[in-house]
Amino acid sequence: MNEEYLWSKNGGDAEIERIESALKAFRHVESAPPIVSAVPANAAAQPKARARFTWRLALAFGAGVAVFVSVLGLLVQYPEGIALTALRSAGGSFEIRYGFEPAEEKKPEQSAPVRTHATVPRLRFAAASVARRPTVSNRNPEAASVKLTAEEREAYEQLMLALSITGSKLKLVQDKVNGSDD
Amino acid sequence: MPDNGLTSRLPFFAGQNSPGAAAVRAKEQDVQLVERVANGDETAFAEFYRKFSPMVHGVVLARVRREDVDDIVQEVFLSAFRSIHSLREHGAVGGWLAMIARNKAAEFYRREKPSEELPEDLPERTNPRSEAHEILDVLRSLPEAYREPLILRLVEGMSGQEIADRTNLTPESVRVNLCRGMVLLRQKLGIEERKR
Repeated sequence: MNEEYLWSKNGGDAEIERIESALKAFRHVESAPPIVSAVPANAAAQPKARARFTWRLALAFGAGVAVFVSVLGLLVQYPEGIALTALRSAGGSFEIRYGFEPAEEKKPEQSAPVRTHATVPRLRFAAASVARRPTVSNRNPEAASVKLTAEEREAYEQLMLALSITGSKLKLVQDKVNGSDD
Repeated sequence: MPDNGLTSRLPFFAGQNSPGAAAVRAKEQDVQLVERVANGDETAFAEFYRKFSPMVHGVVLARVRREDVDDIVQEVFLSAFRSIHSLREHGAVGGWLAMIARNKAAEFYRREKPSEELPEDLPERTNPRSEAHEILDVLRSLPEAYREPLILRLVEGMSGQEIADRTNLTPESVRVNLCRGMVLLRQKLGIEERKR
């Protein structure tokens, strides 16, 4: 085998030349380059940034909708009154009570200290006892005029404030989405 | 600089005509070419395609069926055009292109739909190019390190130095791989046995 011919094509080697001539059929035929006039040279970076922005916007919109729907659902289900309480100390442990209960069904003995096995303070969620969930069928017109305690009133106002903030943010997101689509 | 006998005999110009100096000049040309392509110059892109398409064709042919090679070559150049701004070392464009070609060939096999094999009792093809196909199949069965330089040398007709310049490999490694690959190819084709 003539290595010099293999390297620089100088000299000759009958066997290599025979292989070369057989393989010539597969050689690249010069053709026109692909049309790139429609593709900007640095196009790759732009769609990435745009996709990232759209993705974030969609995520923000989705989160806003989720918050809005859940709050709306709670309001529809418990129109009588809202009692958001409370972080209570219970013999070295903490109990967070949350839930919605009609004002007249509150039982003060339920907030009695709860003993737990834990020796270090820890947080524990406990659903507030709701004796009877009001449904559409058993709602009465008097329920709307139930008197709220000062604490309940404050919670209600805070919830309304949160709702209005969520609404305004949603509007902002919607405007941005509509604006980006244009 | 016109290359005539006089300049090559003078010590100053002799250095400029050495293979090392030629490689440096080729690299400088590549850098300028890449910069022009990155700026969206279509003429430069056509030149870029003309210069590197045989190398890309060879790299793809080493992995993919011949019928699909041309499409993949076009894909490689489109992809390169889109992402050429991300190439940090413009002088290494050949190696970068070869890498894109290898990735595209691998990607082609991943996305290719499964096809049914032909029955074995089909009449044998009496194609005049069947020997060429046989050699190409043997070439493809060689280890990757030998396969690419041999296809670039024997199919695309590039010299060893050209292969080294286009793929950003060292001339030494290309020379070694060409020689070892050729020995293996001859063994597989049964050329040594035939001579005896």
